[in-house]
Amino acid sequence: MVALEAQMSSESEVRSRYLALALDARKVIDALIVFVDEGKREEGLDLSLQGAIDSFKEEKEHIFSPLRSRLAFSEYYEQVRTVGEVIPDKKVIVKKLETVKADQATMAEQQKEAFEAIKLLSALESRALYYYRPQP
Amino acid sequence: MPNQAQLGVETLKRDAAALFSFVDSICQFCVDHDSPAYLEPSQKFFEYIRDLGDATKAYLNTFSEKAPKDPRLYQDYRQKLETIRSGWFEFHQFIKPAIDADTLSMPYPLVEALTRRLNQIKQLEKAKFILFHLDEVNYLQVRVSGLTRTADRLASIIPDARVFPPELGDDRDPVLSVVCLVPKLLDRPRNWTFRVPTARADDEASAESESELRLPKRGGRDDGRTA
Repeated sequence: MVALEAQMSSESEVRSRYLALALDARKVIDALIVFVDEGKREEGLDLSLQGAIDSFKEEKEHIFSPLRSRLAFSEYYEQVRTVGEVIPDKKVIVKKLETVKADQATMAEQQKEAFEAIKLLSALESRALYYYRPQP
Repeated sequence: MPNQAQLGVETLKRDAAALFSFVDSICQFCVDHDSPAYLEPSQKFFEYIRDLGDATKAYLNTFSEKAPKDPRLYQDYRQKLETIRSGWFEFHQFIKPAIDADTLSMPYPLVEALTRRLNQIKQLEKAKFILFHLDEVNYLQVRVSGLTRTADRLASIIPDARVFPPELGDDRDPVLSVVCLVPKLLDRPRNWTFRVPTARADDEASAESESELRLPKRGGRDDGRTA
């Protein structure tokens, strides 16, 4: 019974990590949607992008070191695994986000990269929500 | 059959209205009432849920109007409703047990006495309890970090929503808050277990480890049965 209870608790904790991943992906998507749709750089866009870039780029020297970052793309094992399933090569999305954040390319090019980043993050959000839902 | 992008603003309105009803039904539990009475931390918890619910409902009222004009973004925008619903689904599992934990159903003098004792421990001077009253299990562990993680992130994607009250659950603060779980008393002896997060803000890896305070078994025995 103790093992069952521990398992229940653990499942709840794990599911909340998937939800955190979906919510963090949504935060970045929201900022990018405004940029693509209206061509407007909202206040907080650069901060969201930087947080996502740092989180996707996060590489630890030691495999057993605690994974802590501001956003949930690389905080826990479940999140890292889900990101790996949807975006096998994280350099791809990092490059797109960096292009938008740098604000050096033409607006059309930035919006194209932002749109593609939205699609990747949306797929990530969708997958995280799928894992969050109670499995039959 | 029209594709999802062609469903348009009307579909967004309908989806947002359905989610509005869901959030409203949860917040109905937390409306102000004189009876039954609750301890102060529980009241603050309900107040926070009400505020978050109001912000969510205000946002949903304008959700369809703020839809992107670019039809390629329609599905990505619409998916936000599913994320918000999941966030509220997560809250829902805490709210009903908290509502059930009124002062008539709980041994609140005992809880207050234990809280006073706990507050004598260094770094737990300001620890508070939100009480959950459960009848489906006789033991459940709720991590404060999980609750704040969901609340703060949900607040970050809803305009004008505030973060979870630090005094109720900021596990990065050396003075930690505590969630207390008490089972409903049925016809059999139970163990009451209070889980207390350890207060070590300098070591985040250990912030989620917990110490345990176990109350004596009623009648000095435990028949080993569980709910």
